[in-house]
Amino acid sequence: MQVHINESSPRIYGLLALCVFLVPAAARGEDLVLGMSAAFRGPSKGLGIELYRGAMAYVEEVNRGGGIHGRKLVIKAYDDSYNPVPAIENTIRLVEQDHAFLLFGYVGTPTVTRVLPLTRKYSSQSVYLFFPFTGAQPQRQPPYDEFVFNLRASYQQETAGLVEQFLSLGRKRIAVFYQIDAYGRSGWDGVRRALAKSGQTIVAEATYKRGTPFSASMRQQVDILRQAEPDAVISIGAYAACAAFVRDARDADWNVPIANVSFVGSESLLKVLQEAGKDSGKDYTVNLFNSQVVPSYYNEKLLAVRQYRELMQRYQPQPPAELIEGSYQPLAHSFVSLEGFLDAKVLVEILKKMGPDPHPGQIRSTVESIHELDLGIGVPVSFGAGKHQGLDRVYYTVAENGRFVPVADWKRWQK
Amino acid sequence: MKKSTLITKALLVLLGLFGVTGLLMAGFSAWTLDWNLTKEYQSKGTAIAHSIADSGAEILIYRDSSSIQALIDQFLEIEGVSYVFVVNTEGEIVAHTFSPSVPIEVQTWRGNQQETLVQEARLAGLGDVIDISSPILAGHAGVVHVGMDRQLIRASIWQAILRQTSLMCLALVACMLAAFLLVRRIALPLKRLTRCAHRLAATDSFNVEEFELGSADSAASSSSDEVGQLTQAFRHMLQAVAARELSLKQAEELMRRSEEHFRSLIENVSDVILKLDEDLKVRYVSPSLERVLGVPQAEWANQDFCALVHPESRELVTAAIRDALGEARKSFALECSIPHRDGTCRIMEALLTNLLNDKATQGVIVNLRDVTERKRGEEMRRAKEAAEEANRAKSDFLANMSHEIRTPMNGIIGMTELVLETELTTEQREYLEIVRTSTDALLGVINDILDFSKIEAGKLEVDAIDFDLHDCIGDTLKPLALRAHRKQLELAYGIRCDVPELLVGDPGRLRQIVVNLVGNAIKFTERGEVVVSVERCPQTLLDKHGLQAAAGSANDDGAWLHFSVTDTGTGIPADKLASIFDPFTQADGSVTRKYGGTGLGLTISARLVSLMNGKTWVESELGKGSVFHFIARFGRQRGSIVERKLMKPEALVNLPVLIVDDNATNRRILQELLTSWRMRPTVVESGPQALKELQQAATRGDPYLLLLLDAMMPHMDGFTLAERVKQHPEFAQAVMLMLSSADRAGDAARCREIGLARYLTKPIKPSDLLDAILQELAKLSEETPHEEAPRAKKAGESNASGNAQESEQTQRRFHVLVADDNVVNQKLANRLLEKQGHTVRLADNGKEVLAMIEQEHFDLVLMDVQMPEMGGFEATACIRAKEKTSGGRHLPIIAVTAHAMKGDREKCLQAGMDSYVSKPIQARELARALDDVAPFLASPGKASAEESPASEEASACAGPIDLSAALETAGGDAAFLSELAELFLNDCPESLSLIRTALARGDHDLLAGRAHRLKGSLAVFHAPRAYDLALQLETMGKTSDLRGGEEALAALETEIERMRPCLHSLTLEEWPEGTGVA
Repeated sequence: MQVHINESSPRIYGLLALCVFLVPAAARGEDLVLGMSAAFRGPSKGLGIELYRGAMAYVEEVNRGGGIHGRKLVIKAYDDSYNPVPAIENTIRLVEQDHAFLLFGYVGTPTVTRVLPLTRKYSSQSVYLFFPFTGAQPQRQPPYDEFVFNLRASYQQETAGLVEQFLSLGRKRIAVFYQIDAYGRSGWDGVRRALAKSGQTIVAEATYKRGTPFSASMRQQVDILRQAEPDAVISIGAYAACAAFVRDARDADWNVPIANVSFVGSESLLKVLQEAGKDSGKDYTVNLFNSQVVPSYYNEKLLAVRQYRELMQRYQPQPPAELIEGSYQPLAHSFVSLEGFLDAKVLVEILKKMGPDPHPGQIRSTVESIHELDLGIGVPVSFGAGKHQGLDRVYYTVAENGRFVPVADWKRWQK
Repeated sequence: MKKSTLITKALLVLLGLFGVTGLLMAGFSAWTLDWNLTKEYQSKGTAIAHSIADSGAEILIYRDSSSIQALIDQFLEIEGVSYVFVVNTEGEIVAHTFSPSVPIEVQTWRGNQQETLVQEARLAGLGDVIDISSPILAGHAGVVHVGMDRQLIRASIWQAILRQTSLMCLALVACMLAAFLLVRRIALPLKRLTRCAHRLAATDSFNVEEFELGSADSAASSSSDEVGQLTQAFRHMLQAVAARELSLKQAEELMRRSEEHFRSLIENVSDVILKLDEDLKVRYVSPSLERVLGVPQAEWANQDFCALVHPESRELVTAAIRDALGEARKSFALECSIPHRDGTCRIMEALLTNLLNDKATQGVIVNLRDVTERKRGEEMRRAKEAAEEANRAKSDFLANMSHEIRTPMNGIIGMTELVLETELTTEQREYLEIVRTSTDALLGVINDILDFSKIEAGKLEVDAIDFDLHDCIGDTLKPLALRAHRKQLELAYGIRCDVPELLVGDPGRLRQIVVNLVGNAIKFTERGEVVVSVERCPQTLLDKHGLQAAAGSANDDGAWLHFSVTDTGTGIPADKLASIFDPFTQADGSVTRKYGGTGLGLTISARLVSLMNGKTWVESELGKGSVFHFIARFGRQRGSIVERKLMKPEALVNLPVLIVDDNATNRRILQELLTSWRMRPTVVESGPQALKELQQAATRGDPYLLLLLDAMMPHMDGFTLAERVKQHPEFAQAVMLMLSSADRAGDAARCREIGLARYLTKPIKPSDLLDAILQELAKLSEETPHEEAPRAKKAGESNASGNAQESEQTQRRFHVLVADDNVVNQKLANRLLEKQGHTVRLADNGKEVLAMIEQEHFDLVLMDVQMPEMGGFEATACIRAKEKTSGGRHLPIIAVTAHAMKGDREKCLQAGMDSYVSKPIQARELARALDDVAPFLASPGKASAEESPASEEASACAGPIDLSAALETAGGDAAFLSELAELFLNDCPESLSLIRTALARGDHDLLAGRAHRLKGSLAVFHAPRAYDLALQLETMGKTSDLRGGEEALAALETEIERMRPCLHSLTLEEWPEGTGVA
């Protein structure tokens, strides 16, 4: 469903006016400000925007319902375009100027990895980072794990799962295509470790630089990897570059199974590839896997999915107008917005638990006290001291008929 | 569009400067920057590596690689960092920033575990990098590598250079603009000046105003900078140049002319001028080469000079030149032959000038002159000289001949005349007359031959002196008249009134012609008359003989005269007429035998006439006689057109004169003459007619005051007529002049007896006749003053004896010094002079003359030219010099010379002598010479010519001596001759002994002198053999060749011994009848 900004502008402005109005309120302790730094622009802007929209769908529902203990939730969002330095600056601003109650909805490994030291710096103020959209290791291990709470499974878990799947299919020669930064390194490391368990090593690796657009050629990387004749390629990157890699591989008639991780943004990836496929007349989505950390939003058996779909439909959340450039066509549903929705739902539960007068100092204990919380996704969420990751489940999807569907039969890719 | 080069240059220089500076600076900056940046990058990389190593240690040990990746990622943002990667202790790259993959090279790098390393490398896809590796935790946690991008350094260097270059370019543009403006400020006036200079160069004539530096005035010259000063200076220069231009142009013109002059000199010089280099190669040759040798100029270029010379002389020439150059002679000449183009060989005189050391020339200048013609000319001149020498020898021979012939002739004629003056028997006289006639003939022959030789030799020249034609003809004919009268021939002459008397010409030669023609006529005429007439030559006659051209121009001051000699002789056959004037030709071979003579007379005459630009021809009719004609041209004396002597005194006007002559010609001549004197002549041809006419005149009352009577007339001769007239008292007062054709003894006496006033011999000179008439008329009237008749008086006293001395020469007594080394000649001269009443002193040589004239007074000196010790010329010179210094009177000197050539006379006159006589001295010649010197003779005293009572015939003495000839030489005085003989005999032994001594000693001069003296004496005695021997000896002395001298002397002595009896006979034996009178 398309939202025309012009038609909905009175509402958007109303929302904006509300937001502006609410910030001082938060400062007065009336509103709960959630500081967000994510990519609202650039090649990875889909991630930031969709994550925001998903979260906002739930926040909207909460706020409509009178907020949490009468206090409204406000997501103060800034764009970092998936770059570490703006992320750091945004964080400082959120903490020191916006007096954010907590940090929420950060997107990306390199950004988050660099923000981590700030959480340590602001430890006295109990600035916690909630549910960053990344599976990287740094925020899951000392010294930063105590300031960060993760909901999703790690990349290591994702990659390890993929490696296990491929290995089980007899695809032992695994190559890695990755973004040359902490995110890619995390995935790479995950693959390496997983392979190491069964005595394998990565047969080939190729990198690309963060921010590489779809238009860029990935032929070099394709050739590098293809030389090693891998049985499968695990791709850790953003959707634009990963789509480009897929395109170039397929264009080179290399139909090796390519598996991406959750961060890639499945819908964006598919969308780009489908569009490219329309132009070239090729189906770029063949043998394309994607591991997910949330269930498929088509699985409406799940309560959370139904709720998600309903609220998304109801509120049609829009990204903050001041942050985006040009037009953005929001996705009706996506794994990312679903993750944002779930993130917000967990956070609301936590905040609710904190009582009417929440204090940052309470956060850690409150979160760590969460145990077996049912979100309506079939698996409970549990935190604890030393366990700052709520979910460990990885879902495997494959592109079929224009969407990623859970892999029904791995045997198809048996080697 | 011409840019000012100054601007272009300035800009180019700037550009170059900036370019070089820019390049240098860029290079330097690049180097510096590279060095600095490399250093900086190294330290930067090192710092990063250290930083990562420091902060990564913990992470590496305790955390995952993504943390490390996050750590290293942030450093990528630092400028210049190309990559970072971390290797763990196992050597695994656990984190890196490479994309799309880790370069292979890097995978092997381990780095040093202990210390930081810096290395440079080139990586695929990254290019040049500086890799800094730093160990983490002292190598215990791995190694971190930081790659610094060298390309960034390069880029920043390029950027820096670009910035710098841009700055430089800006500065360059600014500088160029400034330079342009500045240079333009200089260049514009300069341009203007250049334009001016161009126009200056282009124009020929200019003036300063034309070059409007006026514009420069305002702009440039007003500014006081260098440009302004330049402009000012240029203006001044322009003015100066303008001034100089003029003089330069003139100088240039002069130069050009001079150059042209010299070039044309070089080009037209008849010499070939060459320049050789030191190898004697021809470096330059003048264009005259073609003219001189027919060889084109180019052909000689760069040729070896020696090779051009004819092979025959090549070696010589080469050697000569090498020698000369080797001796470093400045200039030298040589002769060589060089082939001409036409194949001939030309003799060239080469004048070489060594200018090898001359910086301007550096060569040898050769002047080649074609001397072939000169050489030829020299040969010809030598030949000519030889010919002339031969000719001179011939002339000398002739002169000698003349001398040697005349000397004995002198003796013969002189002696004969002397003898004839003594008392002789009829027989003797007859013989002697024959001798005299023969000698006269002989002398004539000799003279003819000599004259002819002279003419043939071209030695005879025609004088141009003033003379009186009437006198000349008259004087000439007088001696001839004697001959004519002897043959009972009338000799008459008539000169037409319109013939000018005073002429310029050669009277001597005219006389000779007339003598020859008249003599010839007389010779060939048996009876009748010989008439000489002179008239102005009519134009028709001139035209006829092709003398027109000369006549035309001669009208004003010259006169062509036509002479004709008419005889009534045998005539000449028509076939002989053509050759009558050829030498050695007479009308008939038999004639020669009959009349004698060489037959040269006519030839000589004709030649002489030719010399006078005239013409000779003859008309003749056999048996009736001949007429010899000649035309000759004479000048007229200036300012004396008026008749000098033949003025017509008033007394003669209308005077009735009766001319009595049987000869029609004479009558006609006389009548004409008297008429021209405005007298009133009446002519009759016989005595009776004359008496009759006298009678009638007396009856008419118009008596004749003057009667001209011919002495010889048939029936009644002049004397008879005169007696008859005297007997008639009524006629008696008439003056009678007797004109006689024949010179007969007793005529004069008869005249005196009858009482005739005058006795004139025909042909009568008009002047004589006029004198006589005037004198007689004066006597007659007593009171009539003698207008002019000095000669007439003398004539009146002239004796009418048969002596040939017809001249009215005043006989004066002189004191004469005779200088002659030859005793015989001394005697001869002495005798001749003493006979004429002069007193004589003798001298042997010039020195004696000088001494004697100091002591004694002499009226004149007779000086032999050739004398020992001091010759005649030398002595004369001394005398004249002395006269000049002392201012004394002029002592007349008459030269006596044996040489008869014309040059001698002039030599004598040049030497200061007044006249000359040639040996043998003849009485007549001597008299003429005395006449010549007469003006100088101071004390005239009458000297009656002593008559020799008789002449003796010298007895012929056959053998060594020709006695008769000797006698002739001695003037016919036998006693004198014997005297001479005695002198000779006395003198002879001494002479001979001296000659012997001279021969023995080899003294040439003594020999020559003595032999000459002896020879002279021998000549007098006409001893031919002895004379020859003496001459031989003299020649030996002169030529210094004494071979055969002894023999000659011996022969001479023998000959003289032979002569001795004859000479003795002269001295001792009495002459057959009487003795000579001293």
